[in-house]
Amino acid sequence: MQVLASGQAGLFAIQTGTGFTVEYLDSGKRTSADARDIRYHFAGCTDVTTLTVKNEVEARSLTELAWSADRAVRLFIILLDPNEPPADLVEVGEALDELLALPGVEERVEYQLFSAPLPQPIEVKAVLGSLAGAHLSTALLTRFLNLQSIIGRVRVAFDTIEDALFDEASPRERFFRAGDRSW
Amino acid sequence: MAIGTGPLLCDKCGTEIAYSSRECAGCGRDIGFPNVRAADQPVEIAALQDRVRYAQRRAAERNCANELETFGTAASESKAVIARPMSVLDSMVSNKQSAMQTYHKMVRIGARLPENNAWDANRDRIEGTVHPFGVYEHIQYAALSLDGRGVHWYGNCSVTLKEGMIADRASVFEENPFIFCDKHPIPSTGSLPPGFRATWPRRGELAMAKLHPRIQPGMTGLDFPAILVEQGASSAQSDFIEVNIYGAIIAKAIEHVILEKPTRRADRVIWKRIQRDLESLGVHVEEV
Repeated sequence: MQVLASGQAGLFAIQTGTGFTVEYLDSGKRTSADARDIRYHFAGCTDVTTLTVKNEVEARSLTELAWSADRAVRLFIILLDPNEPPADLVEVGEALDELLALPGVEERVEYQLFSAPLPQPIEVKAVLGSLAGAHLSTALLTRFLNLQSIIGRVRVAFDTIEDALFDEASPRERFFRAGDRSW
Repeated sequence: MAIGTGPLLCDKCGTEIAYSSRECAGCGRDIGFPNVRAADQPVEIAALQDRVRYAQRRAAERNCANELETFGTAASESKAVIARPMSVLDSMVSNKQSAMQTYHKMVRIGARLPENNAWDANRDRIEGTVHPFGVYEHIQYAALSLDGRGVHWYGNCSVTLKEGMIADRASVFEENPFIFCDKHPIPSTGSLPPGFRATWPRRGELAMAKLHPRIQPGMTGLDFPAILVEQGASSAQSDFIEVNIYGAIIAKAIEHVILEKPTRRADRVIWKRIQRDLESLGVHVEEV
């Protein structure tokens, strides 16, 4: 079956004979959507994908993964925000740990985060101190910091590739928009 | 400017104005927003006023002429409200350089791929019927609302936009253009029938023209929000007057946000930050 899904929106839409059945992950509510109004459900989301799945369970599971990765990236970026008081980062680390514990999330988060080096230095000690109980978040942040020079070199190399070598319109922009959504 | 109603000329230099232009090709003068120009054409206004007169006659026959007038007055003060998932609001608010872009702009810059389905494939055709010559690529969609709530099926955040940030570049349209085009089949060489769109200041008239059958004797202002935005039992049954806003929308344009309280922990943590950022922008935030 064909499904439209977005982690950002936290919903998926199963194609039916007459339109779509939309399911919201957070509430579990379902609604029938017309093919004519489906565009409103995904308005503003940059991660809408068409999935071919065996059943609803698979659709829900893949959308959950997309949602978890989206929120984990966002929470990680909050950790790097110099304007965040370290005391407030405790809850961020706890929420991030919950998501990183889910299968497949950490890998997806790394795909996005490791595409660009840190835009500005952070107070590493203070941030790590706030993550005392959040072991997965601590490990991810440590790995990210340790890989900064490699990430930076790869990014510079990628930036030097000529646009003409890509075989579609604006691929570089899409690549970075996907990774840089909230930097 | 309905196609076929004659050329529109720059009132400074007399050069014919192209439908989609933002400035006169002759003298470079700012000629406003194409969706607003289109809604402001005499043929559109006349057709809309015909519809309003018809609505008034029908309301008088049903003994609710006063209620219709009161509804029209209320609708002329209505706001543009965008319903979006929290994460879209987050992107807009957390990055001060970020703007809410149109679907077509996102596709163009590579931030989103067009979906391989019949509905995305038809978007250009249907949206281009309402806003031809590529104007649709610049249009963002909101709903006219009297209570700060958009269609709840479309996102748990209802974002009210400041009138001063959109009034000059917004027009209003009868309904979801996909539904409209099903009701009013338009031949390939034809154009939109006049009278179904209006400039921002005339939005109350469009509301009267469209929604008069739903006005009943004895209705008061309390009844009107549910008339203007019909929160259907399903997404497919929801109905509203679409606000078409030309160009990007930035966080500074937000006046008010209503959010359904997030149930998941990650969303609650993120929402706390969004709320803080919104309040620092002077936005009134309401949790329900």
